[in-house]
Amino acid sequence: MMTANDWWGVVIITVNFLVFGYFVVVNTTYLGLFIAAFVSAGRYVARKRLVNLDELFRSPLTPKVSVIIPAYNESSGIVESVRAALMLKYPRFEVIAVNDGSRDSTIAELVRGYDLRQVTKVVERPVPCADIVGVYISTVHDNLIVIDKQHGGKADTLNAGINVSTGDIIVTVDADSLIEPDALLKIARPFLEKPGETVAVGGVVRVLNGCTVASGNVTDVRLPHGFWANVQIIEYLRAFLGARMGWSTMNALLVVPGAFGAFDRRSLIEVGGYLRDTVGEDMELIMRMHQYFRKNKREYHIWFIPDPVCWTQVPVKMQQVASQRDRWQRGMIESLRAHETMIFNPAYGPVGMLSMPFYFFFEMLGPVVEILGYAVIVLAQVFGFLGLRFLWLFLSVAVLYGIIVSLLGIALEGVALQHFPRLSSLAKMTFFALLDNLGYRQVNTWWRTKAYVTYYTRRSKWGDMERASYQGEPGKEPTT
Amino acid sequence: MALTLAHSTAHIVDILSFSIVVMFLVLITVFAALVVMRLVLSRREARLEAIMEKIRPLIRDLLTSEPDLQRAEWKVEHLVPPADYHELEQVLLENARIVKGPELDVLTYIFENMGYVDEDIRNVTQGRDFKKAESAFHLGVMKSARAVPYLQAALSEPDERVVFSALNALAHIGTPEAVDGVMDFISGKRRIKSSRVGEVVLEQKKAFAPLIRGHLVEGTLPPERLGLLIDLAGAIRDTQAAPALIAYLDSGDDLLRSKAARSLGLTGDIGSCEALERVLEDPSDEVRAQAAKSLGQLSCTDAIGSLARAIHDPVLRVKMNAAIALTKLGSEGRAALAERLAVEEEQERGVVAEVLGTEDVRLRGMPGASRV
Repeated sequence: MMTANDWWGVVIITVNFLVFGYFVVVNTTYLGLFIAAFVSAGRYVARKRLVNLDELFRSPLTPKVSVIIPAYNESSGIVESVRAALMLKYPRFEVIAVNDGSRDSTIAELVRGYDLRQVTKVVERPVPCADIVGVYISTVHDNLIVIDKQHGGKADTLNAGINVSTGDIIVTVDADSLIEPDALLKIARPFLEKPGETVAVGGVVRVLNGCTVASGNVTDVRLPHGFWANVQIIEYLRAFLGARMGWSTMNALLVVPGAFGAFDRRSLIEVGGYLRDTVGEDMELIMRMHQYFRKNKREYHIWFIPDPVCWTQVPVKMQQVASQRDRWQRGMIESLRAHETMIFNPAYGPVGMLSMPFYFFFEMLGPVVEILGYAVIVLAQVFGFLGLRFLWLFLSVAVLYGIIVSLLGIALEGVALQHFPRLSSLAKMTFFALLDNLGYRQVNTWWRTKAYVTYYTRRSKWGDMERASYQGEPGKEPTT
Repeated sequence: MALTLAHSTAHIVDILSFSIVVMFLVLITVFAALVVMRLVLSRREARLEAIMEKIRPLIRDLLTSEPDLQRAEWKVEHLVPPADYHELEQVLLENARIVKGPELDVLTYIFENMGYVDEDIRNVTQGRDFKKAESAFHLGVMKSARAVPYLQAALSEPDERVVFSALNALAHIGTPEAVDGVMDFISGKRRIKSSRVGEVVLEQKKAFAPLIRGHLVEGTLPPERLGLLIDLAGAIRDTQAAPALIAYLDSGDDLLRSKAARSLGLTGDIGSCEALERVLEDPSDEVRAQAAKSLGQLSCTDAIGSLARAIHDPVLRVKMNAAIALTKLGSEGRAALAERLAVEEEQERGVVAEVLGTEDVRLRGMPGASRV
């Protein structure tokens, strides 16, 4: 006859086994995604040799691109951001900077920086957005338009840009990001190679902190100082580069980063633009695109390609990182809940059967399960149901598996971007790959679990982030 | 049951212990691979770059001061060690992308006589798909006329990369036989989705113009292919294609009509004005918008009245294009546009104000524009 204590033991040990199984499946899926990503990166790099970007640049058939830069309280870096966008190498493009009712001097900086004049503009609204209070054009750059609008959030700001745009391809770029000079040519390539079929393309976002920037270009790539920026470099390589490339090979990508993504304008308008009352507008849009095009049995592809690089500043203070992760998690919960009918729905192909369930069970519920796992293991240890040896072994396996996946992210960067870090950088990255899994991951898991509370209490709040100018200030981190 | 679980836990502990050993090994392997990648690959890359840096001045020197092809080849053969021939090929290819005429002839001669062409032809016929595509690309860059039959054969390969590379190469080579190969392909039934076929045609636009006109007149190709050819007729600014394009303004396909309206504006054929003016009444707003734009591009002053009326079109894009077109039709056009500032409809007034205001800022030093 089993006592109550025995029953508790059975429950706790069973939960332990489940958590262990869960952990094995998560990391093995990541490993699978990395294998797919390596194959895809190899093919992409090989194909790149057959493309002459100058031909694309010269071709009169290259479609017009509208680069939309949403800006909210970005007075410190907006002029440089726009300058970098204006310097891009592309035959026909316009830059649309959209001021989302900033409380600082963003619009004044732009007016001063580009000698802007206010003009009348009739704007149709194929996608919803808040009222536009002013449209400005520059006397020095024919292809620059600045929109001043009432505050409505990032999605609303992007929608305003879409409404004003005249290009065939919409490229969204965050105001705190820099894109490489030939990135537009590279990101436009899938639209040329698979016209009609390509509806969205995501580019690689890399961490700008620590790099040297001159005249709007990244001239020297270095690792930053400080824990938070470095650990995010590893996180970007592991979770963003590897996983996204893997999903893209199956046309099951669920995120085209808001910091740098390209969209077919017609398709974007057809699906209704960005959803305004969400903090995860980039993920929600891609899920909606999958849903719309699959439902309408349209041939489409959403790509992630590794070399059109966008550099972005990552937060360097713990509170800012926490706030950003909280927002990302809330965005994911909102998006997945909004499209929950797609999960395990074979009508949506690999999106419904693979990537949506993966995100639902491992990315959305993952933090909760992980926290539960830690709690149960500690309980089992405290009450003597499991030995100390089991506890250490379990944690060691978890951390080691995580480190392997993080290192694969670093290796993938070498293959995809053909950027081989210095040996000292490699040692530093390996050290942070360890910290990524032993410390950061647990803290991040806690923030993401807390996001459930925030989700129910303040759904659409973004939180603020201090921006540094690209030129930086002497002695101040980041040195971007 | 508790016993079974305890037993299972013991098993799990064994599995975990074993996993840790395996993972340590994997971890060390991945780390070692990273170090190797860093040391070997980047050093190899640096070494290759160093060799290419040595070869580059020699090739530049030949291009600028050695008109004799045989002597040029002799110099390369004797100055570059055979071990560095792979790097030599890269340098030849990078130069071939940027030079033309006699300078390219020097490179082509060296490429041909040092065995690179034979090797690439072998790859195109026998290699794996990617190698075929890459070698076809090389042969095109080097304008190797001898490779034409092999490239033509590659057009029937199942892999789209190979086909596109072969097409591109044939267009670059540009001999009559090479162009024939591309023509046969374009006239054939095989579907190739990439609009980059257009770039191939543009490379040899004079040679392709009659073919494009011929197909447009026949009109037997599938709509997708006809659409591409209509775009190309405009892109190569082929005035002689205008009659065929005008005929497409009556097509039952909205997309073909709008493409034809757009291309007519690019051809520069002022004889198209009347036909374009007519389609300002087309049921498709895309066709009307393109027609309005083209009327401005062609400076069709006779269409001022129709364009002024088009400002009242229900679709904003048509109004906008009509207003912009009027600014391109001299003082008469601008006057007709300015008159519309007095119309009752708010959107129409807005469009006119926008176009005139933008013009003012960009062309006239901004009188009337409000300084912020």
